[in-house]
Amino acid sequence: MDQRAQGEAGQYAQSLRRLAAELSVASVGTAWRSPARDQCDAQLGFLEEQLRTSARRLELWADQVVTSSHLADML
Amino acid sequence: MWVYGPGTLWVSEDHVLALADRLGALTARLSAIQQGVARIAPSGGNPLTGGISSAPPLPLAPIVGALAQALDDAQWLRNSLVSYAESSGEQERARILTFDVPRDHLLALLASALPGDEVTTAWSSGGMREVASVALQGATPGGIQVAKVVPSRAALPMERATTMAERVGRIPAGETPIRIERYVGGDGAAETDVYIAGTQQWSMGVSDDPFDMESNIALIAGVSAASLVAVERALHHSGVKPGDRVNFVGHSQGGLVATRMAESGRYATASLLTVGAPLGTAPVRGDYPALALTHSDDVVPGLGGAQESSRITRVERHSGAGFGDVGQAHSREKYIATAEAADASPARAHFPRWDAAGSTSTPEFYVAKRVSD
Repeated sequence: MDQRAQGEAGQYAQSLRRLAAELSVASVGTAWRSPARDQCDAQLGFLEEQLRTSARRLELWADQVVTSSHLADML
Repeated sequence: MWVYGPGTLWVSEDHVLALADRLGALTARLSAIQQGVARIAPSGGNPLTGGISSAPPLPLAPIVGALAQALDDAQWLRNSLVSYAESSGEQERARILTFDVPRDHLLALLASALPGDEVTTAWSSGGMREVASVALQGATPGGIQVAKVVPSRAALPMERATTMAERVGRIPAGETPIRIERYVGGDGAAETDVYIAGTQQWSMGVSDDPFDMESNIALIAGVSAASLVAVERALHHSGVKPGDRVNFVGHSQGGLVATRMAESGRYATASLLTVGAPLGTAPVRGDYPALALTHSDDVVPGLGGAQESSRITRVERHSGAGFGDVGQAHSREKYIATAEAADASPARAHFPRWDAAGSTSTPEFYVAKRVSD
């Protein structure tokens, strides 16, 4: 059961990393010159970081849920 | 490169449009991930051993909450980009009011050089369209003769043009102003692509060439023009019947002819692509893909007067020509380069597509001339 949960969490973490990678190459171009452009760039960076953080937390969760399950099985 | 949506309600630099699209797709995928993570159900755990574990599993709820926050942020960013584009549209309308009105006054001043007081009256009553009607002084297209050009070498079948650059590149130049390509679609239905050149005779007054200034004035006035009659006759000669599906492509005056024909209701218009055309008095109302490429330094599109509300999507950029080089800014070659940029634009999804790869046709070229009634 927990291995399945681990697999699902791992897949979602990978999907989140893919989304973050796509965001990292998203461009607002060079012709748009406005303070709003800087805000947009900053917001994109923030969003990318949120996705990477969530992915990392999901991976940690997946590792721990299995470790905990194995420990319970051993005992 | 700027993109103006139907009725100039949407304006944006193309990367902004593309980013808004990308964020729209991203939020949909992120939403699915967030829902999926919320559904992950680990085993309940053994209450006897759970307490022994040195590192109990992290709860999922905070991760789901963080994903919900990221989803909100992505949606907010997308909506902000859309709002930005719309407010740019408002600014663009203000720019048109500021700059187009003086330009129209300048056109009126030039028109007032024509004999009689009628032009001034026409300007105040009906703007550019009325001025053009007066300047036309009741002239009619007269007799038009078209003839298919027999090539010196047998023409070979060509693949159908699927990109904007290919389409603009097929607009004829010089002595054969009309090019017609006929295809049979996958469903067996006939479809025609017609390419129409721009003004060939720039001197004022009537000439032997239907693609002259009188035709320009007639087209702006919204009445029948010699060049329009010439294209209709060429289509008829080629076997195109009223109600057939036709894709119209034109440069300058040819774009104006294309728009008038697309809107005529005579044919089932499949699409319209114009470059450097003065479309001010030729709005698009029909429900078909319509795109106009213009250069911000090309004076010709402005000669049609202020743009009436139109469904056409406009893509605009600077031609790259030297300051004051109006000939280059209006040239077909510069528009081919702009069409290539539009094909490569990240906002390509907002432009019409011509997906008919594989079908071939032998192009036909037509010449036209005015003849005595």
